[in-house]
Amino acid sequence: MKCKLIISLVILAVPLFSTTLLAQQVTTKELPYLVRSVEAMGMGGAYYGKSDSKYAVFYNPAGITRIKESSVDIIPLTVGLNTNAINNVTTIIGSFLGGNTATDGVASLINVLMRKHTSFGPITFFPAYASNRFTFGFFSSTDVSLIAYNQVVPEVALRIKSDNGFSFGMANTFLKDDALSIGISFKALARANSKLTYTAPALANAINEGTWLDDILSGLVGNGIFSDGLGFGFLASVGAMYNLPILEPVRPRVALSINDVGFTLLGSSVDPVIPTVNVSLAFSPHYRDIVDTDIVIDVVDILFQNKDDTSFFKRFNIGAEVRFINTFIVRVGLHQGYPTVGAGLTFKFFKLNYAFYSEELGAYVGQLKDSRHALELVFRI
Amino acid sequence: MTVRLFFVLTITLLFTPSCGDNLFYFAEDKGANAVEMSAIDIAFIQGNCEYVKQQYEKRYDVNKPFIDEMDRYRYGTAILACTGYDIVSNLSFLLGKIPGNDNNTQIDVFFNLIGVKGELSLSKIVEYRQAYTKVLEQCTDANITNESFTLMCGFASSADTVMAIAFTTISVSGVSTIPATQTGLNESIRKQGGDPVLLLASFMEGYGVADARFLPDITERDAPITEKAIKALQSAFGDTNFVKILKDMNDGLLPNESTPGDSFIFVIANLLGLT
Repeated sequence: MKCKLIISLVILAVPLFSTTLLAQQVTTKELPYLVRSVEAMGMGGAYYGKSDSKYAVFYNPAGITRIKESSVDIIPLTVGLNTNAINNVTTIIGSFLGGNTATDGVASLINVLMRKHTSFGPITFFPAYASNRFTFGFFSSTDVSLIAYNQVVPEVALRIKSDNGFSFGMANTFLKDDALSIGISFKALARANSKLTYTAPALANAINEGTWLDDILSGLVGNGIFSDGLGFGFLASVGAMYNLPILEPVRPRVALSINDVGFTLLGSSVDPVIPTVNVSLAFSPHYRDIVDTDIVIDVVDILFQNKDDTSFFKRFNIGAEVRFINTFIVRVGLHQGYPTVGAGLTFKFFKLNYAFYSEELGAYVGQLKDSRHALELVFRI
Repeated sequence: MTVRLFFVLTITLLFTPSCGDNLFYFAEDKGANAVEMSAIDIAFIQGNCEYVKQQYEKRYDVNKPFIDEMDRYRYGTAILACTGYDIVSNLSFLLGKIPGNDNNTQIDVFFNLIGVKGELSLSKIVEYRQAYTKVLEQCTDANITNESFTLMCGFASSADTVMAIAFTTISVSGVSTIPATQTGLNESIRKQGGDPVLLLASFMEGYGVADARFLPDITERDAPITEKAIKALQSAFGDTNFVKILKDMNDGLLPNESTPGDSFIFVIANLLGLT
């Protein structure tokens, strides 16, 4: 009988939670990005003093003047995922394909995902033209993350962020020996966010009823262009790089960029675009025309415009890139205090870049590390 | 020479990170107020219950409900997690027990859920009860809107009841420890010539109503829980007065009665969407 009393207390509570989506989402504290470069991630994310690619429009537009060859990237695809993703997704798919019912699948999903952040991203498609005076392109970059938490009342949080738009940047050099580069870039941005938190029964229900896709889509475009999950913006960035007239063999330079200032119209659940001021110190020693190097030290968002995050070391990156005969590339770095490595192959019509890096998801460096792989494949003319 | 020095620095950069997981961890200011509050969010996700519990106990008087509902929810969840409450890790155990519904199994499952294995000592019960009492203090609010919060409070209330019964059992039987199962509870009482059913009635009289907490408490004050809760009560028991329902159930249920509808295992499985 005593059991019945205990049970009755719980029974009273349970019918209330059959298909509940929680209103408040638990989120990690990853610094926000628009579009990330795999080259940059390989060298610790320290790229504001380099920016010698089409990605200059997202880092430092002044870097456009450092682009060595004009090219058109016609099939440029980046795929990233974290180290948990492969195991977790394999287990989940295996559970469903193995003939398990949806409810078994939910149990498997919760167990597999519990406290293990699973992320896919950046998944980027960025066809663009780039020369050492201007660049333009279309970009589409999506990040997906999933985590289960709370061993007492299990919940699963799903976040999708997709940035799509058009970018244009131009830059020029000034002063003697082209010591000063100044660039500017513009971006027309459409951002879609879907943030869902499922309780365990709500997730089971969504899978059983097949409504999970509707949940995601309604979060993104539930009310058309006025959806809470959609946002638009017109953003501008300006940047400068100055070659210091000292230590000539290592060619030091300083860089400054003011990024993503402009007009935004964002739905209430869309992550804001935060303007940032970024500074960089870089060196580019080279050795007998065989080996070229870039060493970059960055502090991003130096004015702490992102007020939700007060950590200095999450903003501090160091990286180095070594190029052998401009074809074989090795990159190393420290991103938010975590080591990164990268490698690349560059040929006339083909480019391949890989990066392994870790992103801090916690409030301070060292609290919650998320290790990730990213691969970029580019066919170009 | 300068160029070579930079190549050495580059190589150094490559190997420096291997000295530690995060090079700047010890330099970071982790004590700043904003950082600590953000860190609670992350610790909650990580299941670092001890950190969440400590932070709230440092910041607030935990014997009074916090103003923010989410803070109360996180603190309560952390306490339950730290006392061993873990549905997810016990999922396979729960599923394995579903076919065999009886009262002994149910209370055994409950002890598994709250992490009590083997013997239950008086000191352990006191420790648990203090923790659950803190959670129930945070649950005392008629206007709770977060449904997961309400569920967590239901668990805390249940856990508190189990601990209260165990405490009473140990006190009456005069031993320092008992097996942490329903059979153990019953046998401990019977060894001393007691009657578990009478003990429970006595306990309910003294504790279940007079010292009611959370659901009984707020219903007694006629405070609205939620419309859904009222409907659920009406639908399940034909009444919305929780205290009356509790008394009716206490009087009406047979000791060994068990149906899927009031099986604790069934309820947990239902919670997880597994039925």
